[in-house]
Parts: sequence; structure tokens; C-alpha cells
Amino acid sequence: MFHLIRRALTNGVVTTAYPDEPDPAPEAYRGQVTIDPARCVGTGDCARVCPSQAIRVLHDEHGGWLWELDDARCVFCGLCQDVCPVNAIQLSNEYELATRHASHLVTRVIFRLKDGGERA
Amino acid sequence: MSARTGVPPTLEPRGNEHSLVPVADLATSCAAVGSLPGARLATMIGEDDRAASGAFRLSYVFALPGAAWHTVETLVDASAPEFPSVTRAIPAANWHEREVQDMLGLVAVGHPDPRRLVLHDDWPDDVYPLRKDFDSSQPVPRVEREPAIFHHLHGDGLVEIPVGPIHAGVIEPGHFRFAAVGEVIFNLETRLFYTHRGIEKLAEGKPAARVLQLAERVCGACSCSHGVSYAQAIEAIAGVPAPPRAAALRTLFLELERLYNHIGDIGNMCAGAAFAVGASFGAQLKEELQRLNERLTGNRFLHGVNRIGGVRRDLDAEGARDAERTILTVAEQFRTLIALLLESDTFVERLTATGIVPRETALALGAVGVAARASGVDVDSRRDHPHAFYASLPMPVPVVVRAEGDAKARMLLRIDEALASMAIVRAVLGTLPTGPLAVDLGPLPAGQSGFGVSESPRGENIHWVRTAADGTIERYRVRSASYPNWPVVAAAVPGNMVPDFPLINKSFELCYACLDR
Repeated sequence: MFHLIRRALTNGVVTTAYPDEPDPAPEAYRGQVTIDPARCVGTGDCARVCPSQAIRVLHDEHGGWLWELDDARCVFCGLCQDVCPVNAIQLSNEYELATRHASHLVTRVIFRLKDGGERA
Repeated sequence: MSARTGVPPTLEPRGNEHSLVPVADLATSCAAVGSLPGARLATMIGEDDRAASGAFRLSYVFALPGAAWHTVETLVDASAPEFPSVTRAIPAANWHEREVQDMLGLVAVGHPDPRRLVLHDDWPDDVYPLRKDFDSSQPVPRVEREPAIFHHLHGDGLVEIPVGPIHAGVIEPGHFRFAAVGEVIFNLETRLFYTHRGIEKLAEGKPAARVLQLAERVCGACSCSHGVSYAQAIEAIAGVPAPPRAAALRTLFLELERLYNHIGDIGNMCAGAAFAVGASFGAQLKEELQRLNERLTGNRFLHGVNRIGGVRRDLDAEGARDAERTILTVAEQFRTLIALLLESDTFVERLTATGIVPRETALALGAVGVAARASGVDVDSRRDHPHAFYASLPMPVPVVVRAEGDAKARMLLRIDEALASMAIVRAVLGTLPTGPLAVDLGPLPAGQSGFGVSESPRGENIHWVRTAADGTIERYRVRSASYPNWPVVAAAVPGNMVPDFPLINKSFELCYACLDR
């Protein structure tokens, strides 16, 4: 009994002040998928490897493409990051994904090509 | 950390004997294998093979001493979809045969308790989800009918207490129906399988690599073990083992999984006995360990550690130092927690002689893991069917067995096993072999079956796979440790007080999701 009381008195605070203060995830953490628009070349490998169809890559007839991510479907496995040939995809440390509208969970990036075939 | 090239791990399963018997001889053949010394029915698989052979195939897989297995296989002709039940000779076959009745529509003739198991009352008759002609993309119209699955008991002073499926805490759904006389429980019936996900059906037709993410998500608490078991099943089919460094890292993460579960479960047992300081302390240490998981693998539940043919993540020198340091800190605090628990007479007395499982019961039901070892059954797949790096450790796998079979034995066992896990983690860190993290298995052979085994915190998880002609998954069956252990819980409860049920349940700390594949 004495040890119990001593434990309760000497243990101190073991919790963090989150959400009043930030509690960042460690570097290795696999959070929200991010894409670097300057690197993406539209291979669509990420969409093909995705086990939960969270990523879609759609090409248009002008050589442009749409990259779409639905965080509601993502299981944070990181296969898209592993498979991307140009390291355009990174699983970030972002874990605060709650939102009031499901539509806010969808990210779309549109890639258009200029006349010279360069990325716009 | 010294680097060396370890002994290549042996392929699981070793010594895999196989006998194909006529369906009329199924019960006698299984009884013969099941009565061999040390034999245990480990899993049973039903397959719809009508397209190829015009029959359903049943495989009863027995674990035998000497790291051996024996599979008794029979073909059930589609024109007479029934087979003689093995359950009267081998009680551990009970749930497997009921599941085959529900999912494939084969009748287990002579089964002592042929009620539905996986499918609930609102599922229509004559619709069998694991038959190949079942289209899982279409919704199944449900039927209205009275629940028929409970045996109602009647008698003077006997009251029926229904509990669940929704519970007060954030836990999984399960319905428990107590027949009690005053405070004393006379009988317990459980109804589980509330959130069937169709994972085995979903795997069919998919390339082997794509099923790994499903395997890891069979359950949250033993995710690494499920991933290892599945990856090993595919590696066994290919005949290519994971390289030594991958095997060692799998063992490291399997032990970190056991550690955070065991220490968390000791805290949960405190919660079951209203011992708040112990519960909070256990939760605190579990959090420390899950944060270590997150730093090392990017995920608190160790998702994403495995891949087919090895592991996806390496451990660098800094990660190894972090693991070593964290384990040392947690070990010191864990010893304080143990001292607090064991010196609390009220807590220890609450656990003593509560929820006793006799050895014969654990043996008959094919119990595994803590549930078996706390009842005197000396079974641990890390030693009995060595996988990953367990045969290459610098010491024998420490297997703890206790005779008492009560909740206290299950807690003391977890304490000893957690301390042993810390020793294994440090041993792996000290002998981590160099070399590649994974090998390419190449195309999988067609129509082959194989299985992988690993020891999760709850016991042995078996993933059984058959490949199709194109190398995709033809049939996938997951038998997790909780599957044989749930009937053990129901056997442990009668004779105890109603308020002790949460404590007994937590002393097993089984998983509901592991049933709802």
C-alpha cells in the first residue's frame, strides 16, 4: 500500500499537452501522402500499386494528367512512395486529418503540358 | 552491434506429411493422426474445387512433435456435399467444421453442435460465401427470423443475463449470454463473428503481394505476426526462404509486438480488477513501446514491416541504440509495476483460482499461446516450429509453462514472457546478420498449397494459402490464435461469479477481429 501511494505521488506527469501544444510524429512516421508536383512524371505506378485504390492517375488526350488522392481510402502502407521512379511521393508526418467534410479529404493535382511538351 | 552472416533459416513447414483419404474414412483417419503422441489439430481448410475436380476439398492440418505436420485431405463430391464430422473424436475441430458448413455449404454429419457459427440468423439459407459461384460484389438480401443460436436453459432460480454485443468501453462486438444462479455463472454462451469482413474471399484472384496488406490488417494487436505468417506461407510455396537479416528483423519485431501486448494486457487485467494504478502504469509502458514501434517502423502497430520474401525496413545503428535504450528504461519501470502488482494482496487474491482452465480442457480444445501455457500445455511455435530467426538465436527460446490454469497464472506467465522478450530483442540486436533485406521469389508455382506459422502474443497464427493456375491466390485461410482460444474462455467461466467475467475475459485478452476475417 505504501509503495502504491509513493508511486502515485512521485510518478509525475507522463502525458503531453497535446492538442494545446504540438506533439510531432517521429521522422519515420507514415502519415498523409504528399506529392511533389515538380517531380511527378505521371507514370501512374502509385495508382497501380495502391491496395485500397486511394490514388487515381488519369491522362487526357493532350498529354496532361490528373493525380488524385483520397485520404479516406488511404491505409498509409507507403507502397506508392516505394514504387515511384522519380521520388515524387513522400509519406509525411501529418496525422491530423480529421475534417468536417469528406470532400476535404480528396487532393487533386492537375498536370498540363505546354505547347513545347514541357510541364505547365 | 556485431555483424555476422547468420545460418539461413529453414523453410516452414518442415516434415509435411500428407495423406489423401476417401471421405468415408475421414473421421477414422483424423482420429488416428490426432491420437499420435503430442498431436494437435492446428487448422482445417475447406476449398471449392468443383471447377477442377467436381469436388470440395477438406484439409485437416495436425501439428506434430519434431517440427512436423500431417495433413489429412479428402475430396467431398459436389453431388453429395457432406462429410463425417471429426468433432466427437477431436473437439478442436468443432468451430472449423461449423465454419465449413456456413461458408461452403457442406454438412458435417454427426456434428454434436451443428448450429451456425460465422453467419448470423439474418443470412439466407443456401447462400455460401466461399463457394466460387458466390458473387461478393452483390449485396445479399437479409431475412427476418428469430435468433435460434442460443440454447436457453430453464430452472428454479436460474436467470439469463445477456451482455453485448455493444459494450461500455471501446472494445469489439461480442454477445455473452450468462445463465446464472444468484451470483454464480452456470453456463456461458458466446456469439461472436459480428463484423465478418470477407478478407479470405477478397484475397481470391489477387496477386500474392497484394494480399499482404490485408494479412497485416486481420487484427490490430498481432499485425506483425499475421504479416510474417502470410509472407512465410508464400515463401514456403515458392520454396525460397527470407534472407537471414530479414528473418532476424522479423523476430525482433515479433518480440516487440509481444512486449507491448503483454505489458498492455497486464495493465488491462488490472482494469478488469478495478486496480487503477496498475492499469494506468501498464498503459504508460505500452505507450512507450508503441512509440518505439513508431520510431523504428513508422507505425505503432508495426504495419508495413513485412514484404513477401523479406522485410521492407532496415534497422540502422541509431535505431538499434534507440531500441536498446527504450527496452532498458521500460524494463526498469516494468519491474516496479510487477512489484506493485504482486504486493497488492487484494489484486492477487482476486486473480487466484479465478477462471481456471484444466490442462485436459486446454488440450482438447487445441488451445495455443498464453491460454495453453498457463494451463500446463507446453506449446510455443517459436520452439516447436521454428520460424524467422528463432532457431538461430544465441540461446534456446525460453518457454514458460505454469500448471495452475487460473487468471493469476496467465498474468505471471505474461510477466515472465515479457522479460524473456526483452532478452530476445537484445540478443537479436547483438547478432543481427548482414545481407539483403529481401529476395525476389519469382513466379509462384500453380495449384500449390503452403502455410506459414508465427507465434503472436496470443499464440500461433497460421496462414494457409493455395495458388491458382496463374499464380494468384486461389484460397486463403487465416486461423489466428484467438480462434481455438475463444471456446477456452467459455469453458473457464462457469462456476465463477458474474463480476469476475470481465477479469477472466481480460486474462485471455483475445481478439474478436481475428475471427472476423
